[in-house]
Amino acid sequence: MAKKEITFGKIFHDGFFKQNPVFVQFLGMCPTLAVTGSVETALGMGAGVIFVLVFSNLIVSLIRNWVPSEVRIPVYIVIIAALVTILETVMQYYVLDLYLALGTFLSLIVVNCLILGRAEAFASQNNPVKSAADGLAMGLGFTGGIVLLGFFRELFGKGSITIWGDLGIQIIPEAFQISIFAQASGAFLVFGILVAYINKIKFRRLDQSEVA
Amino acid sequence: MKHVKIIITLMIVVIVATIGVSQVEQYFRPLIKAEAIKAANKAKFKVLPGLETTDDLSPEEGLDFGDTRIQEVIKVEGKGYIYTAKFQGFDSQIEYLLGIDMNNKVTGYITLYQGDTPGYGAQIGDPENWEQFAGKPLEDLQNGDIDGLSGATITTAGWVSSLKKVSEFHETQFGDGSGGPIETPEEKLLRQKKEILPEGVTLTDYTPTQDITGTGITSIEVANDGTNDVAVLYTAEFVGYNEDDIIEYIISFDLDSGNVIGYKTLYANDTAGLGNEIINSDNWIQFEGKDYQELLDQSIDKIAGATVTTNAWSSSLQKVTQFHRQEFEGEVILTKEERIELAKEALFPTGVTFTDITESKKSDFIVTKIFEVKNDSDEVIGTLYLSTTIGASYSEPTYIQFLMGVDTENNLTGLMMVDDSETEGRADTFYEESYDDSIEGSSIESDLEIDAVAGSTITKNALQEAVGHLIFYHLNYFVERVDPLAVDTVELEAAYPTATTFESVYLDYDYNEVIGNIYAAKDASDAVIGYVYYAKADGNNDEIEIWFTWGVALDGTTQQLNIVSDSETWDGAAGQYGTYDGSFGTNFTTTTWLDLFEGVTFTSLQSDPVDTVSGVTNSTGGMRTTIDLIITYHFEQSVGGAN
Amino acid sequence: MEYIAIAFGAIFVNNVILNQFYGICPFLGVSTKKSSALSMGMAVTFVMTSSTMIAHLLYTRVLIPNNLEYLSTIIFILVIASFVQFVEMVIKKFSSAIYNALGVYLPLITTNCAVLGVAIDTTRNSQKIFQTTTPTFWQITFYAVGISIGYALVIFLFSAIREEMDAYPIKRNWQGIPIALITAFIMAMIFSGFGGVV
Repeated sequence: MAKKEITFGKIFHDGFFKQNPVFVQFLGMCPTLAVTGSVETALGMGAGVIFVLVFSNLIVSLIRNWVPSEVRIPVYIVIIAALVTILETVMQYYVLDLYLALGTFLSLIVVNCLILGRAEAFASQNNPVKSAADGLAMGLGFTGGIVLLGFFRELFGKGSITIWGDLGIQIIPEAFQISIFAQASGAFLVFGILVAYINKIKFRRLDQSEVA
Repeated sequence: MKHVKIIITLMIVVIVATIGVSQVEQYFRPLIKAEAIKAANKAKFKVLPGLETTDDLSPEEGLDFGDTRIQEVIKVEGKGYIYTAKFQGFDSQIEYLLGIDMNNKVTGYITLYQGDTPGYGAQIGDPENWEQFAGKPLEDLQNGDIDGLSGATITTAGWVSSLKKVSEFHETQFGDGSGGPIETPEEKLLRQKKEILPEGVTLTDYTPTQDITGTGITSIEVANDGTNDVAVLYTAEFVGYNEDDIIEYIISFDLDSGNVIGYKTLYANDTAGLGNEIINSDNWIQFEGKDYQELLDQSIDKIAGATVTTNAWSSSLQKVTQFHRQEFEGEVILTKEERIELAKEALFPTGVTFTDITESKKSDFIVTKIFEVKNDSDEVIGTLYLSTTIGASYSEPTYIQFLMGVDTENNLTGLMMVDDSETEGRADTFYEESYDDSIEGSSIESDLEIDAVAGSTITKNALQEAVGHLIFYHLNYFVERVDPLAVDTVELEAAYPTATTFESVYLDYDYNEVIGNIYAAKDASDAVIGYVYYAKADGNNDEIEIWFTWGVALDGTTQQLNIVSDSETWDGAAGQYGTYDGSFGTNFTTTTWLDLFEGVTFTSLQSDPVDTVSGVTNSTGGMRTTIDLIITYHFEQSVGGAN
Repeated sequence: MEYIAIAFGAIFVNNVILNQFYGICPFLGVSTKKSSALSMGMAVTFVMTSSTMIAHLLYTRVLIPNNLEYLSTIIFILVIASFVQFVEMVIKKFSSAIYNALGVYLPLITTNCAVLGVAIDTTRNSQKIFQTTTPTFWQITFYAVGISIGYALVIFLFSAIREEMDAYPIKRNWQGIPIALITAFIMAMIFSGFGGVV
């Protein structure tokens, strides 16, 4: 192998930070914006994405040497679509409320560029274990990103964080809530500010490493 | 070749994916559907436990709900029924679900919608109030035997009535639930009767030898176990708080022990909270094996908050028990009236007759009845008082009823207790004749002290006070009163020319020897405009009575004074005494002196009396005396409101 | 009137990008130039309208009668992918001018979640848009047209703004995506004003 062996540590570091799908790669932005009105839906979407990503990476990696490259994209899409359908069915039975809250976005995991992107960029070139690990890492990174976004939106928009209905904390009194954050347009604003802030940190580090 | 591989690969992937998806789908879809059905029919699953998602929950069709306001009925084969019904609450239309199983037992209740005011009905939305229903027999709903909502009378009434309608509808429509024959009212009644009778008896109608009038008994049946009559079952009714409807019950007595076997209220439509709880079997348990004597003593557990119904109930049970004791146990149990009759005779020698003269005497708050006692030669030998006085208990008003006899020499012939509602045991000793031993035969004009009884001081004091009051009444107000004397209408019209009709009202007022009658003078529209006194005055000598009629308006203005009859001779008087100057005429009947009493007022006659006439002072003085007495009487008795 | 209301609502009120967050990736990625945005908008309009109609017919005529609704996600994505492929081939064969203008954007449309999203919304999730589980073909068509126009309109306006913005100095960490998102926020605020119209 001429290529440098990729380690699990690097896989997770990439997933969380260096190639964070939400803040760095800007992959899967539709759900990023749509389901981050609350921490709860963000967590649900994150879990769904992790499930699909891990399994799609695993399956894609298992059949990587067998699928002709001309049809790999359609094959990946079919695999992802099947996994998403299974996910939908399972969620409909076990967490109906969450299923209804996520609505069409659950189906749209199929066209989440993150998943197809990881299948194409990683799973089709690595062994199943590492591919699954990459799926988990990327999924967790994605989940972390959208939960962070959801946290700010729910915190400022509704003044409280509510998870699974009964775990509610009122942090900001009603008079000081900014409802725009929880509304659709607020998603752009919060996401924009967060990205700008993360860029700021990123550039500072970059500057420091250049100086060093 | 390459194309073939591509196509095959794609096809395999699609097929495998489809199979995988459909496997998951086939496993989960039924579960998801079941959950969805459960979620959509959450309430229905709660009111009818055992319901499964595969059950057909479509409402029954073609049922006539009448005025029950049932919205729909779901029949779940082999499991039960779910009713949706509505009723008017305090200020909202309340909708609820009721589950009934195949054995006519309620399985659950849920209020689906209510918009009532908190405190006035909104409690119906509180699941705490629903818990009572699970396991309740349908019969309880028919009887209205449910725990109401505290403080929400109107909503509770609507609720009870709606549940009653639903349960009745259910019974007529679906009967025993399994589709078998419906229990007819007759069968139901028989079942209820058998529940309070020994096992395996047969019931036969019984024709009583004694009169059941006034006992409230509607039917008597004897239970025979094949060889002997073992029990008697009575069906009886009485009126509780709701005066417009009866309460019907059955009670059975063991012929061996004489005690009660059981009791059931068959029907009640009493006011909720004020008596309808009699339908609740909790109130019947006390009768199982109850000693008959306790029923005779009206000693039963009260229905909380329902004094009127409880009293009527205990009285009805007492009557039924009394009847039973007499009819089947050969006991003589006297009614109050019978006790009074016996007591009356005990106070006077045998062979006397009692005549009720209460009407002709001055009324008094403790005098219930006054009897004139006559011997067989029709001579009055004394007076008997039936007195009802307030008893001793502080917690609630009680009464004591007793008889007191007085002979013509004003000596006490004795005291007799006949009835009381005193606290148990407090008045009992006074039923024995001993309590007036020391004063019997004493003159009522002396200080009489009845015998003290230990432990009944307050009751004794109440009696003592009542006796004292009766004696005072006898000495002061008991005056022989003759019947009001009739007088020709002509004479009345002469006294009150503007009146058209006259009606005697003397009995409304106290008796006075001088006054023969008092008439209310009425105008054409039957309104009282004044009064006419028919009274007598002493004439020239004791033998002579001057009867006259004298009208007075409501405001005290006198009308005409008309001499009705007299044996007086004004002429004679003048001639006899020689000092009369004849200034008022010579005939007394027409003398102008009488005009002085006309067209003036009672008040002015009091302050400025008409002078007697010298030479005829006996006749004019007699008139003056009677007229002064009439005026005083008029004000004292407040005739027509005068004061 | 009903169809106009549906189309108006789809263009402005329920704007596919600003309100429903469908197709954000190409929205941010392709909207740097007016010309490419216009091309993308046109391609999306065509594909979205056509694929929605096809998805609707497939769903009501094939999937529902055979109780295969659960396969709709897989079928729809295959239909969209094949259709895009087919369109690409047709354009390539008949008009090189159009192909040159749209060609490069067509493959991107497959993974444009707006297309699949609208297909799913008008079939499985039609209750929330049409208040009925069985919308008519014309209701769906007008909705799809409206949504596509809304998409094209927003992406074009957005690219115009971004082109202008290039002329101004922006702090380094705000350049690119962050400032685009803030711009989108302002546009979304403006579009939310249409909420009161329908």
